[in-house]
Amino acid sequence: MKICLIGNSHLAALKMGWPEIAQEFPDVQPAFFGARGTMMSRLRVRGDRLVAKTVALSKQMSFVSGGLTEIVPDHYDAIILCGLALHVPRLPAGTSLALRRCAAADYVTNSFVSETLRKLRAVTDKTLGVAPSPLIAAARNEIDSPMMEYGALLDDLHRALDTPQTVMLGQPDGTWTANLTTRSMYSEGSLRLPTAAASAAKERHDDDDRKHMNAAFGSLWLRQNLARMAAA
Amino acid sequence: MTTPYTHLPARSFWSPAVGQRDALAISDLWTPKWPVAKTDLVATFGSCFAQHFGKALASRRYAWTNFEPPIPGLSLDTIAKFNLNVFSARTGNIYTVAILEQWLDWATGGAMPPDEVWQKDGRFYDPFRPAIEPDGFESATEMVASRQITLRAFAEAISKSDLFVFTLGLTESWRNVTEGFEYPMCPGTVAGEFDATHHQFVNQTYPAIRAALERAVAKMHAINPDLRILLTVSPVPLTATATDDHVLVATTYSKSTLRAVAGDVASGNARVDYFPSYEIVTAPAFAGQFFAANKRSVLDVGVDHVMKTFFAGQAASYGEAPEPTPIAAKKTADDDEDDDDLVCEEALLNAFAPRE
Repeated sequence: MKICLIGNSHLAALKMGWPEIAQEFPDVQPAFFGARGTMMSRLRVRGDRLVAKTVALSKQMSFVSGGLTEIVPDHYDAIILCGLALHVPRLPAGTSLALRRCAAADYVTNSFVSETLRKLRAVTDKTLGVAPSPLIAAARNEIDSPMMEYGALLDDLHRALDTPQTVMLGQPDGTWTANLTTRSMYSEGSLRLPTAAASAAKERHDDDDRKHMNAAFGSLWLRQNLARMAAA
Repeated sequence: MTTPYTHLPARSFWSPAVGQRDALAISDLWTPKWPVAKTDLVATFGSCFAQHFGKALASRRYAWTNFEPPIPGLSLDTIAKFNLNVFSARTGNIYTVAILEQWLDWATGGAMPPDEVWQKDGRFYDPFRPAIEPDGFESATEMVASRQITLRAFAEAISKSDLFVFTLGLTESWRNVTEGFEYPMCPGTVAGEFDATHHQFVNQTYPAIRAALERAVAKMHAINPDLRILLTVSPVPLTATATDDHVLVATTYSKSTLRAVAGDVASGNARVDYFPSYEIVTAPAFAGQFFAANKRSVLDVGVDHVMKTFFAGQAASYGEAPEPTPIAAKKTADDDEDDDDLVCEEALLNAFAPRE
C-alpha cells in the first residue's frame, strides 16, 4: 500500500517514527511531503497532480520526500493530511454542541486543511485522511479540569470540514490525558522537520516546546492510523 | 471664627466644584479607599454597564480576568455570539443583589440551583442566564452542564480575585415564590412561560437589598478575606417597569435605592468601596450629554469619561494612571442607539413595548 502523507512540522514525528515500525508493515510504502509552517499551502493543481507554486517549496518537497516534487494522487492508495494548522479545540466538558460546532468551524477556518482538501478533490475522489495537530503536551503541575471527549471534538471537526469521503484520524489511544493534553513523554526530544535550506543535522525543538511530538508518538500514530486508512 | 466648612476643600462646594466649571472639567469625584495595581486580578460582574469596567481595565493592561475564557482561536463572532468575554464568568447580566447572592450560594455549594428549565421552539434555556447561548441548548442536561462550568468559574473568580467589581442594576425583579428564587428576566420574555401562580413581581426595597448585599459581601469575604469589592450603580435607565409608575419615575426609585445601598454598605466596610459611575453619567451637571438619542444608552464618550474618572482617582491618590489604549472608533449619537457592543438581556423587554 502506498501512502502519501502531506503535512507541516508535525509530519516530523511520523517521518522519524516510521523506521521504528517499518518492519511491521512490509507492504506499506510511505511518501512524506512536508514543510514547516504554512508553506504547504503553496500547492496548486496542475492536471492530475499538486505541484509547488514556489521553487522553495519544490525544493523542500523533494528534500523531505527523497526526490519527489509533485503529489500525484493516482500513485497512492491513501492520502493523509497531517496538521496543516488544524487543531482540536480544547473545550471544557459541558460545552454546548452549538458552541462546539462554531469552535470547530473557526478552527477549520484558521487552518489550511480545507483549501488543501479542495485542491486534492479537484484531482482525486479517493478517501482522504485528515489528522489534526497533536494535542499540546501536558505541562508540569497541570491542574485537572474536566474536558470534552476527544472523539466528540474530532467528530465536530469532521463535520466542519464538510468534505465527502474524508476520514478523521485522531492521535493514538492512550497518548492523551483527561485534560486533553498529550502525555509529556511523547513530546520529549521531538525533532524539527528538516528543511532543504538547513544543515542535515537533526534539529531538536526547544526543551519547552509542547506542540511537537517525538518519534515514539509517530510510531504509535502510524500503527493506529495506517490500519484505519487501510480499512477505510 | 471657624465653622466646620471653613477648611473644607473646593470639591466640597458646589460653585467652585461644579457650577463654575465646564462639565468635563469637574474633577475629584472619587477618592479610592485602596490602589488597584496592574497585577491585581480583577473580576467584573453585574448589569450591562459592568462590561465597560472589564473592557477599560483590559485595554489599559490591568489584569482583568476571565475565569471562563474563550479558548484560543475562536473568531470574534463566536466569542460575541456565545457571550464568552462579557463578564469574568458566563453568568450573563446579574441585575440584582439577590441574584448575586444566588450565584454565590450555588457556586460555593451553599445551595443547589433549581431544576427549572425554560423551553422554546424545542430548545432549552437557562432561566438564570436566558440569553447566554444564541439559540438555547440542545437539552436540559446540556444546559445544566454548561452552567456547571460557569459556577466553577464564578467560584474561582471569588476565591482568586483581588478586586471584585459589581455593578448594581435593578430593584425590579421576578421571583418564583413557590421555590424561593429570583430570575434575571421575567419568565415568558426570552423563553419559558409566565405563570402568575408561581411568578411574582417584586420591586425590592432598600432594607432587603442592603441585607442581601451585606450577606453577599460577608459570603465573599468568608471565601477570600482579602477580596476588595468595588460597587457601582449602572446609570442605564430601565427598559421597562412592571410597577404602576411611569418608567422614568420607576427608574429614579430603582437607581436611588441602589445608590443609597451601595454607598451605605461601602461606608461601613473598609474592604468595600463605591465608585460614582452613576453620578458621572446622570448628574444634571452633565446635562445628559453622555446619553444616546434614545436617552438610555450610554455613549462611548460617557463610558470613557467614567473610566477616566476612575483612573484619575487612582492616580490622584496612588500615582499616575497609565495612558489608555486609543478606542478604535468612536460612535456617534446617531449610530449608538442600540449600544450593540453591550449585552443587556433587560433591553429585550423593549420588544414588548407598544408600537405607535
